[in-house]
Amino acid sequence: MFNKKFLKHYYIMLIPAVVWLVLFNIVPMFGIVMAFEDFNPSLGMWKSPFIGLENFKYMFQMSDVKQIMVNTVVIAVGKIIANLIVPLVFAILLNELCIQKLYRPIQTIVYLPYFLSWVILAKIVLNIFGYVGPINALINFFGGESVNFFGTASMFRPLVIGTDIWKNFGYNAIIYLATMLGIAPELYEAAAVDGAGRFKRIWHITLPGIKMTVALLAILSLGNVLNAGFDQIFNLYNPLVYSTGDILDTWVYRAGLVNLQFSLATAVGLLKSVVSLVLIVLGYRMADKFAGYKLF
Amino acid sequence: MNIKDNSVRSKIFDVINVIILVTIGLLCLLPLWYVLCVSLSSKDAVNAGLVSFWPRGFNMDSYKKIVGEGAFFRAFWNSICRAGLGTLVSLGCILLAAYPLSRTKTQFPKRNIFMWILIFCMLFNGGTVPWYLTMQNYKLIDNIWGLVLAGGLPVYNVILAMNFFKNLPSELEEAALVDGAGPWRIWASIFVPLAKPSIATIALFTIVGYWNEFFQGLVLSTKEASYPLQTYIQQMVVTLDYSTMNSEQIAAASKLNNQSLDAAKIFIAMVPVLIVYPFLQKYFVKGITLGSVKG
Amino acid sequence: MKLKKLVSLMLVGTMTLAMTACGSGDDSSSTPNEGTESSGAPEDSGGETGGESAVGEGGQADAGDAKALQPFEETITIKMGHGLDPNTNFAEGETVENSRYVQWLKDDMNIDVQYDWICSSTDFGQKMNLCIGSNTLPDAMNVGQSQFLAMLKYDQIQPLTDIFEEYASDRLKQYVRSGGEALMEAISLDGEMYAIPAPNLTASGVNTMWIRQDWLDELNLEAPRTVDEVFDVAKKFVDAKMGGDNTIGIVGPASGDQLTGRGGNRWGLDPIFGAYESYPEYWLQGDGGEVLYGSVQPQTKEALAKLAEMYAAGAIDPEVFVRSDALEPVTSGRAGIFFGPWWCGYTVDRVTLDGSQEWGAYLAPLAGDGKFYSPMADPTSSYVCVRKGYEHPEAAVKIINYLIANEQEWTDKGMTADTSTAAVYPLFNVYDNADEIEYSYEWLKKFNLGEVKKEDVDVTGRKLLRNDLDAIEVMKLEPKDDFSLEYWDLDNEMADANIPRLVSIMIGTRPLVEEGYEPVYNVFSGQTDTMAAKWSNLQKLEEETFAKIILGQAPIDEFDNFVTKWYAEGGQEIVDEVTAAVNE
Repeated sequence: MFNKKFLKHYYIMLIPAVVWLVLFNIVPMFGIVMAFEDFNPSLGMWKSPFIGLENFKYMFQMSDVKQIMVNTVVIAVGKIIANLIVPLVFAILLNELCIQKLYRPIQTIVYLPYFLSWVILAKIVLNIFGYVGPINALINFFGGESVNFFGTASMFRPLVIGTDIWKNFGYNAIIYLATMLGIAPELYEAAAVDGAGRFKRIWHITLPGIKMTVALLAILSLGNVLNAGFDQIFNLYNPLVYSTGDILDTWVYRAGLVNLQFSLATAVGLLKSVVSLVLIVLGYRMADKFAGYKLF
Repeated sequence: MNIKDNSVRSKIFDVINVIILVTIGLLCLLPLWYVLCVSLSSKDAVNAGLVSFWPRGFNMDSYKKIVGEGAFFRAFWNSICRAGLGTLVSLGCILLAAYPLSRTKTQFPKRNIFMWILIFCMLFNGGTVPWYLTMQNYKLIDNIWGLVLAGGLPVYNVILAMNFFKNLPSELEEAALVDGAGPWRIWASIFVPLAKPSIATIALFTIVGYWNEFFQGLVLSTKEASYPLQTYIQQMVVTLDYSTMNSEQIAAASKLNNQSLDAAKIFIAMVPVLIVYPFLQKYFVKGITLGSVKG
Repeated sequence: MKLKKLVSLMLVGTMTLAMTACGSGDDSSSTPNEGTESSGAPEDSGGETGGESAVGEGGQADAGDAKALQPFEETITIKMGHGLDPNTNFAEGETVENSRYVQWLKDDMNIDVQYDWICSSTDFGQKMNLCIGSNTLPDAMNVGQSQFLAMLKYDQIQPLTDIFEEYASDRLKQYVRSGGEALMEAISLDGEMYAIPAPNLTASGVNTMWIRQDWLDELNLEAPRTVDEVFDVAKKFVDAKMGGDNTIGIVGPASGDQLTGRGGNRWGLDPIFGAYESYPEYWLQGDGGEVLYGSVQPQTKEALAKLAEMYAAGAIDPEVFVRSDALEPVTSGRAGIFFGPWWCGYTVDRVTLDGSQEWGAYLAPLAGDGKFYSPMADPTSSYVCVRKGYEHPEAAVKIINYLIANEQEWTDKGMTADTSTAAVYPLFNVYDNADEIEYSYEWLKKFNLGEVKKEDVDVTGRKLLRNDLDAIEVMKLEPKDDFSLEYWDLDNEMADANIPRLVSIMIGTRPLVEEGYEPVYNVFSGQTDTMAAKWSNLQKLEEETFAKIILGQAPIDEFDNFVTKWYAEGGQEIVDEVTAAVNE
């Protein structure tokens, strides 16, 4: 229903957010020009030599660009998928919890790891998976040989994805839990009256009730397809797992150690943003086309 | 949901479910428990890697020491101000903007343009250096408003709020329209109250976002007195490079390493978020009943 | 989410570390201003710097020093950034901006020091990078090598040759000259010097072998000297379960540490490479003047093959490269051997003080010819620079002069006890003799054995030596020449403050002085054009290959592939560029 008189008010409501956005998000974007420059701070943003796509070319001329890209995408996509599914399953389980007294404590506890930085968590993780840690103790107990978890390239990605879930799922589940609260209880009551069992109710009421939120989060998370998580990997990796664990951001970091490469960092950032935007647009279109969801 | 389902399958499910959730809960308690144990252990035991999941050489020294540190509490206060002000400002902007954006294209034809601008701004940024120069021009260095505003509009939260609003049942709104209510009244008396769990979620995300952020705090401060708490804590995790030190510095540095104290600070820094969450959980009330509309 | 990590480019800059005035208050030596080494022929200050003649001139005349400490006629302002250790103690009412030193500089020199920003020493590098990137540099700054090179590349700092000649005090010139040509080269571009350096301690660049002396004694073993002996002893430690089931023979680098470094590298395995005369990451000059990169030389392959053998035999920490902290096994008494510089006495301070572990230090393993080859550290890692366009560059020099001239007196009079110079003095560096540690060892030894009297030891300009003499007199029990743990007074109330340092010097520095070593110098520490583009990738290749070979995840012949690849992926160009730069 279109109401012309309302329109003016809609704009007014948008003003604070738009002002904030323009001043603090859009204005600093002039820095993107650095991606196309050989930025020299003493010449400044506008007078540094313009070198077109050289920074990007440089990035793609690296001998191990393929390896780094694969690592980045595999780890990032693994995290995206796992971070959508695990919190969802957890939220459903929690929602079905029969002991109400446990609901809030568990919900509070699971979101705690989110607040610890990777500097601290990495230490805990490395100890747990270390030679004298509990996991290897368990393996030894069952007669197995100790495993050098973080020194084995093939195990690095699963470990990174797994520990990332451990840190974040509780926090990510909050959105699902909040959405589930929005589902009208009448629907469940009606279903119960109709004789639907528990699993049917999950399938026919809970899931449909949150499907839009799941889809929205899924599409937004496409924006992270090149963000494999610098802090985590930087604190967990070592030369033995470079082949599976070296990602775009750690590479930029190491390149920057040799030389403060402002332009390169901007170029990598821009590349990530462009890829994210393309994927989000695609995702949005596909959700619209195949499911009829208008997500934004 | 508490609707009784007495089938055997359901009972088994309940039991397994409780076991799974409690196990998961314990796994998540682990790191925090570890930090607590470290903070309560003696410095030497920590350095020897003896502390795992039980304090060694139990003492409260670290906590006693923190009480005497003015800088810690100043940073704590800065963070509280930042999170408080920031949440007010952000929630205001987010909730206001989310309403028009949650209208359909017929109701608000330009909404898609705004949405895509938001998405664009969420994904692109100019890098730290230009951002810092801009904030300097705005005179937001050492300024609490810098800590609040400089990160830009929390677009992700706007989109979440928009989504929550969109999912609200439209019947109430239609009824209000029939009553002749304008957009402000609909917003204030229907959307905001109805979306309470969602608003609580967004408020939580906002508070946590402000609370955990440390990099902007570092860049925007020229002195320790303006640090927010996480910046303050971050700086304590000192990476020492002995190779470039002279002998006096080495002597001094070897006395400073105090992981136990760091752990105590990290633990105390978590307390406010631990308090805020259960408080916000009160608004996680089940069932926005549609009865009032339908009936 | 907004900012990502894009500018966490560098975490470690120079660290102006705080110190809580380590008790040298009762030092009674006098006349700090004497200019101990006044004459100083302007020897090898680098012919190409063009500063030679004037340095000489400043060296002789009193007029030179008068200018060095002459106050400005009108108060001038100098802006700085400061990295402050978060644990610094201040006297009541003082802050960094408002410290006694700032006040004295204002009163005595008419220099008004102001601060653009103050942050933790941990964050100093990041703050500085931001200043470099946004071209908002303070007027003067004290930075590390990579930032110095960046500012040089971006043309952000001014040449200081003339200023230095005119205003630097004799002692400052002496210290800078003491670094020789290598130091001059490190701070110069096209014959102009762009920084005032502070020379590194020589001893801190030499890695020695630290070994559990008590375990050796228990097993009736001699201290191992060759690679095979080290290997053998490490295995025996493990087999005998000296530290329990998870005994570690040789501790190696943990996650975040380096396998080999330039100079002092605690937990690194540099000495094992050194035993094969292999110097990874060093630029070496061959006999014919050609320049070689150490990591790709055949000697490195031999060292790696040995390390792989040792790892396979369980003599090296099975969790090397992966472990979160290499200190843990040492402190908890599970480790038998590690490598590190003299100051590792501080690394094992707790276990020494509680008498639970006894560590010895030796120069080992030795090379086939019986010598210990030690790659040496860079001549400096602290660079004081002045922003281009700042009108009073001499103010930075004068601030340093003022420190050097007065530091000793302040310490003697106890004026630094509650607010230390190292923590808050502007542009603070230690301008000291590079041989401080060796010098201390020799005199402490003589004094300890009763060969000299305390009064006869020349402590001029040696900040801690007087205190060390007092300490060793009390702490060291009879027999004076036996440094076993039982002959230290560990229960003395002063033990905490003094034993770690005495152990570091008497045990950690002993082999450097007594056994002698062959220093190996790096001939190039700058950055060539190709390096800027390709170095980080070559380093990654090197780190990965070496780690995999040691752990047996790749065969030793992988080294040959690495060498081929290294040259093909930019190494050859870099070698050519470095050769040109060195032979210029």
